[in-house]
Amino acid sequence: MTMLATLANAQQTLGIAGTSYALGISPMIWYFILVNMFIYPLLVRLGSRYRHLNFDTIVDLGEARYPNSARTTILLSFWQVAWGICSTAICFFGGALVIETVFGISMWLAILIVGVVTVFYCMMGGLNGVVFTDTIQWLIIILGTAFLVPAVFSKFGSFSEFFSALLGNSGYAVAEGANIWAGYTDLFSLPSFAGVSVVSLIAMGLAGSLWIPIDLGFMQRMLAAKNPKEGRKASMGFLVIVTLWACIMVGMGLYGGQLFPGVASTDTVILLIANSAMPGIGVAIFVTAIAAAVMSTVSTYLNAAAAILTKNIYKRFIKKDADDQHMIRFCRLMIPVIAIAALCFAPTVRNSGVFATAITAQMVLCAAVTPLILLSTYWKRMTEPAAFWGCLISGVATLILVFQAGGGNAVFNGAGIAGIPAIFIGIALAFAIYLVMSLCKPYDPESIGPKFREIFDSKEKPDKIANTDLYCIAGVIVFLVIVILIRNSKEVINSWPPLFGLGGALTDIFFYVVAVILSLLSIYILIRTVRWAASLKKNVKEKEK
Amino acid sequence: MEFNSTLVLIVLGVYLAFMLYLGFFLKTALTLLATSLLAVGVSLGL
Repeated sequence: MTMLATLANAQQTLGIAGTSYALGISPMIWYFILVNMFIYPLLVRLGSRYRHLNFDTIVDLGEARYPNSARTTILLSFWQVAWGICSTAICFFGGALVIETVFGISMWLAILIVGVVTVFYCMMGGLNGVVFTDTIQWLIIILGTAFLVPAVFSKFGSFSEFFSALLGNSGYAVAEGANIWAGYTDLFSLPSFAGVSVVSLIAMGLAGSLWIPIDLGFMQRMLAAKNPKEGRKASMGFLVIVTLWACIMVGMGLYGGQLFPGVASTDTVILLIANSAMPGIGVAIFVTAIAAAVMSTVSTYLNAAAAILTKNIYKRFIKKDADDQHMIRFCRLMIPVIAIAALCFAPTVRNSGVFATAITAQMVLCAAVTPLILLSTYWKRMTEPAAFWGCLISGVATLILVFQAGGGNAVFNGAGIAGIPAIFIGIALAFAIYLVMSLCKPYDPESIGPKFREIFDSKEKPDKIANTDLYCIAGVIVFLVIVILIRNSKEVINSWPPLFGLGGALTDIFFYVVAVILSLLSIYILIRTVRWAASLKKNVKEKEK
Repeated sequence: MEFNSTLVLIVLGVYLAFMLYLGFFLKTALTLLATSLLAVGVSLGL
């Protein structure tokens, strides 16, 4: 549940609909298909090893793998805190955009209000509170979006009715007065006019999934599961629920393409849809859902980034004798400091929109840090100088590459050098530096921390995971390739999902079923959490007695 | 597009009050009632 709440952020709640509004159905759906295929194997394998080694963040990993390297600790802390600031800024902007749109106040004032409220909330919360509030927040988010389906369908017509009237039964016969283009609702038609291609989608998918090992909040919450099996179940449940939820957001964004053409800030489209379909209390709940998403995500990132600065920098390098009370005070002090950094950065998110900004930041981080994490975790020859210099050089090089390619929007659509997306170049550069520098030095087991040395030396890996998921993913890839080949060989092309006949009815039913499933699942999880909170309270009372 | 900003403010206020109540580690229902009423009052006042 807390994993879901972390991901249900401004990037998702506003960005998915906004991007679908601007680019049609295909980019976001393919993005989620690719992300699911990349994320799950990474998440369960790294999660399993992290759990076995008993650490929460990549800084812990760096300290365990290169025990005497202060510079690697500082560099990894920098990247994690930078990612925390970036994610917080995106959330601040998302929340502020909602306030600006609904109340008509200036962006700066809106950002300030969001910042003050979320920092206060964050400083007041505790771990038990976070688990409970995350559940409530996710419930509001899910119910808010799930109610949109019947509201929008009853006001503007069902998905198949609405779009077949505009694009014909085939999805390619554009009617007069339509503000959308042929193939807008076709999963197999990429908006090439916007620079979206198969290669750029794979780049987006990589950027959307390779951040998993870096993300402090997400990994911490996965490791909070009772055992590895529960963790794997939670990961699978999380991916299924988020993907289904994203389908609704994509569908709603598509309605916006016809209903609200020419919106300047595409991230506001979902708000406009909500306000037109369920004015009054409906949109009020929906706005609250977005506020919930923002607060949940911000509290995670601010707390985690402040904890890293306190534990890995302040305690290790500045005040080595700091006791727990002192560290808690310092951590609380760091929360507003990080929030101020995020507040300064937040207005620039408007330039590319929340989704493109997040993907761009993820591209830089993925290139700089993900190869380092993977090689440090699974390759014993990786050396400390390679880790430090590779991380530094590839991070800076990818950042320069991103700016040179044209910034957020350009890179989001796959820009780079000679048609090769920036993220591919960055990752290739990083791997080259890590491998060459490491292989130039003879293997020295003494340079590896004891926890890692034990794993590298053992023949039976204690955190071994069956490869069933990889076979399933390979099967899905083969299936998708066959489907695409069959479709491309057809002479008459109809959009998919279908817009007429039985197929059209099934498309509409799909949206209803997803809305119902998500609502029921959320209520079920809420009941479990309430029971958990009650048992927690009971335990506290028994202890007091 | 016009939004019913008062209603949004009231719902947001009640939600924030509830989160505040949970943030203080599930204290008393009276805290919840008091903060919610305060939030609604402030929203209507604005």
